[in-house]
Amino acid sequence: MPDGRIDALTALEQTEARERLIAAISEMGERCRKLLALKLEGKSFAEMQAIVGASSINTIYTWDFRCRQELMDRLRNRERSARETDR
Amino acid sequence: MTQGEVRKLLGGYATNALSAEERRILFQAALEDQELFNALENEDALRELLADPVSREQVRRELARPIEAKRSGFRFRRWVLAVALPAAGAVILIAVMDRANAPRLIAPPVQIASRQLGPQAKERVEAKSLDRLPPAAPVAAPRLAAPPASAPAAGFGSTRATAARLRLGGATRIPDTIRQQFASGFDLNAPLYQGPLVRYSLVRSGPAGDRISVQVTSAMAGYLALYEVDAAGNLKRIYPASDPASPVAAGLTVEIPDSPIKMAATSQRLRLVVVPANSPAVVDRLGGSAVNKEAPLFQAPATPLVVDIPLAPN
Repeated sequence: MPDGRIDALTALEQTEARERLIAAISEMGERCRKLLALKLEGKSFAEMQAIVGASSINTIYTWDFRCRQELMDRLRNRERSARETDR
Repeated sequence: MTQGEVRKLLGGYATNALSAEERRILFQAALEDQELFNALENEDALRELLADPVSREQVRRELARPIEAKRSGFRFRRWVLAVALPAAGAVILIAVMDRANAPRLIAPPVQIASRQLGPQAKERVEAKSLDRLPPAAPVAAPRLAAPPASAPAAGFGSTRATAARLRLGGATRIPDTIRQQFASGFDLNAPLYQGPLVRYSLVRSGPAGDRISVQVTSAMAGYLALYEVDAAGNLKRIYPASDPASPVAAGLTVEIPDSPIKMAATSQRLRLVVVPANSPAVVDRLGGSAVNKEAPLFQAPATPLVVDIPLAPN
């Protein structure tokens, strides 16, 4: 396969992946969106705890873990739907 | 490492918030903990997406958008669902009915790759099908292990997969965990795999039959590399050229390296290493696994499958 075609394919995949990510994030709850925004700002878990007013750092870990799980599940579901649409 | 520490490190991985030391600890822990290894592979696709500046900016914009705006958007969507969508559906229905008898346009097949030996080329194939299945039709090894547009590989079912299906992340991306596993090297005396999950054929070509390539079929989606082993036991990677390993789709036969290579006189054997991808997300991206659920042939998928290919005199 010529490199140009690989590049075009990769670019298409990245665009699709990006769209799925944005769509998945748009469906997430306020808390998860807030945590993700703080992480993208480079905040540490301790800083996040202070900003969102969580009682302990473990609460933040747990929230973060659940939010990431939710995001990955949403991404997987969207990927699966896209594949079934392709068939 | 406690559960909390693992969660913390995993949480920072996708957003690139870990220090080099934290990444090292995480990778080390992942190599010893299969569940963590799988979780890390899943996070890897997200990490790559978020590492892309364009994606990151779009995510930031989406996160900055207030939820209230989304709700008003929903009210608008309700109107769309109630009025505009049925109208659009009717228009589409009419169009489809109108075109029912129109000739169908079928896209021509896309040629993935082709290879032609010269007229003087001598080709001798030393087929060693470890599972005695008929060899699958090979495709030249692309950087992207893409299947041909049509037939599935023999013996392993559908190869519909890879390129267009590698959806979550970049097509040629190698997870850092896999990168590190290959970069760390594999023990020369590692137990050799002789089961049905990896098949190969040694292909000799060229006027003197001294040019060599290998056709490989892995039953599992994963990552592979090919090494040359000399008399002193030194390993030199000959495929892929730049990355430590290359993604491979399940059931797809690839021919590696891209062009047959002339072996050094001191070369005694080739060594093929396949590390199966284990996480469902990664396996999906690589085109699924051909290992069916009724026959869980491989119990510890992160364990590399090491296959030695002797270089008998041609």
